[in-house]
Amino acid sequence: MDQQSRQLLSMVFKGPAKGRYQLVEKPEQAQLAIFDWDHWQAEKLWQDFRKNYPALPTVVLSLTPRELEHSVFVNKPLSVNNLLDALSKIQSTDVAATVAAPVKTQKNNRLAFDLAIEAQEEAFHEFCGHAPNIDPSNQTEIHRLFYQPDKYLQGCLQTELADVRHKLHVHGVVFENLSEPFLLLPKSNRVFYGKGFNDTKLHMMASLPMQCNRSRIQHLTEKAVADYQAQHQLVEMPLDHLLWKMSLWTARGRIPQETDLNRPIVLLHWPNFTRLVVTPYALQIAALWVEKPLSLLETVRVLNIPQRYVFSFYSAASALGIAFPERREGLRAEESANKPLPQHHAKRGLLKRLLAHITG
Amino acid sequence: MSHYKLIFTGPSGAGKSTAIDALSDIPVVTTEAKASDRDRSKEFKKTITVALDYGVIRLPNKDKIHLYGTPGQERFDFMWELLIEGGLGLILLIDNAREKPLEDLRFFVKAFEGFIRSTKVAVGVTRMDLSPTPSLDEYHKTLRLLGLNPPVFEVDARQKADVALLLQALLYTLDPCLHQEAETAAA
Repeated sequence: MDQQSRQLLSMVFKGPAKGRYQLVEKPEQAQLAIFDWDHWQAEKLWQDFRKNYPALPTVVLSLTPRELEHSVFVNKPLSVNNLLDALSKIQSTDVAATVAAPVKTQKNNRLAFDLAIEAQEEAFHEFCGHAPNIDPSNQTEIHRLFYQPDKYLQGCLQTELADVRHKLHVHGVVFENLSEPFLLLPKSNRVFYGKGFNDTKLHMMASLPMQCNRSRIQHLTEKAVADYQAQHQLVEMPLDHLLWKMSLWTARGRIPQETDLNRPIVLLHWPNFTRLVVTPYALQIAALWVEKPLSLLETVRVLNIPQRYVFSFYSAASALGIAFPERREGLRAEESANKPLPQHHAKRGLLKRLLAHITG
Repeated sequence: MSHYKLIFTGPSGAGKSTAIDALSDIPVVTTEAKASDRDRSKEFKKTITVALDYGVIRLPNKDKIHLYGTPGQERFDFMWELLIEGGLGLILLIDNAREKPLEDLRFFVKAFEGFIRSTKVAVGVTRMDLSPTPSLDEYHKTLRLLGLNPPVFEVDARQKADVALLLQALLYTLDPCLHQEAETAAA
C-alpha cells in the first residue's frame, strides 16, 4: 500500500472510526485485512496472501464485485461509511466469529503496549524511514545505511556550533542563506527562528542536501544578538530539541558516514525524553546503553528490533554529543565490555502489564 | 490478586502528590499514619501523625500497584524504610525552583541508596520553567559522582504524559527488553 493510502486509512481509523482500528506493519499482527483487488498483480498477491493467511477476515476493495471466502466486498469508489460498514460487518459475521476466533484470542492477549508501539512506528516513519534491515556483509547494500551530515543543514549547524563553542566573544550565529531568520545562541542552548519555519518547512530543509555557505553565516556579539532579536519576530526553541529533531529528519533511519557498526556505543546519559521526539524503542536503547556499551548491530540483536530505530536513535543522540563510539582503551574498555547484559526482571509479567496500562 | 508498590519521593512541593494523581486510577488520598518519632534533642519518643500520598493503578488482571508518596520532611525518614519494603522502584522528583536542588538530589539519593541499588530510580526535575538552572547536565554530573546514571527528565507533574514517560523509563531501566515476549510471568 502506498504512503498516501496508509495515511488516509490512518486518518479514517483515528477520526470517524474513533480509534477502533489500527494499521499494523505485518499481516501476522492483523486481526482483519484490507485487500485492493485492482492492483495489477492482485490475483497472484491474493493467492499468496490466502496461502499464508487462509482464514484472516478480509475486506476486498474493487471496481468489480467479487465473492471470495472469508471476505466482505466493498465497491469502489470507496467511501468512509462503506469501509467502516464492511469492517464492522466482517467482525460480526459468522466468518469472522468462527474462523477468526483463534486469532481473536491471541490478539486479546496482546498487550496494549505492543499496539502502542505499532501506532508509534506508524507515526514515526518521517523520522525513522521505512528501510528494512540490511545485511552488513552485503557490500552492494551497505552504503544505504549511511548518510553524510555535512551535506545537510544538520552538518552545517553542528560545524558552526563546534566552531564557536569556545569563542568567548561570539554570542550568536546567524544563517543568512535560509528563507527565514535563523539565530543560534550556543551558550544558552537556544535557537530563534522566523515564524515561517513550521515543522513542515524545517523537515523539508533538513531533508534536502545543501551547501554550507560560510560567507552567509555571521557571528554576532551580545549586542548584535539583542539587535537582531529586536528586528525580527522570532520563535524560540531549545537548541537540543531542534538538533535532535533535525538529525532524525535528515538521517531517516541511517547513521553518519564512517560510523563503525561493530564498535560499542557509549551513551553518556539519558536524553531529556519528555521534551524530545521519542522514536520507537528509544527508551529501551537508552536503558541498555547506559548499562553497557553495545555496538549498533549487537543492540539490534539484543533488543530484536529493526535496525532503523537503533540507527535513528544513535544519529540523534550523537548530534547532541551524548552518544559516541567507545574511545577508551585498555582496562576501562575491557571492564565495560565484560559487564553482563541486563537480566530479565523477575517480575517481567507484572512490569509488562504496568507498561501496557500506562501506554495503553 | 497481588499488590505491589511504587515509591515517589522528593522534597515538599516537588510534585509527588500531583504526579501520583496523574497516574492513579483513584483520586489521590492523603492518608495519615500514626508513627513514633524520636525527638533527637530530647531523646524521647512521641507519637506523631505523618501524611502519606496514596494512589493506585489497577491492572486488568486485578493486580494493584500502590503508589506511595513519602512525606517530604527529612525528619520522617524512618517512615521511608517501612514504605520502600517490597517496592518495585523509585521515582525521585526534585523541585528546581528550591534553593539548592542539587543538594536535595544528593540527600534523597543517599537516603534511598540501598533501595536504589536493589531496584532502580528515575529522576524528574520539576518547575524548570520557573528556574532553568541548574541544568539537567548538572544533575547528570552530580548523579555520576554518586555512581548513578539514571533517566533524568524535565517534568511537569501536572502532565500525565511527562509522569507516564518517567515511569516508562523506570520500567525499562528495570528490564530493557521488556517489549519482548515474556517467557514467564514471574509476577
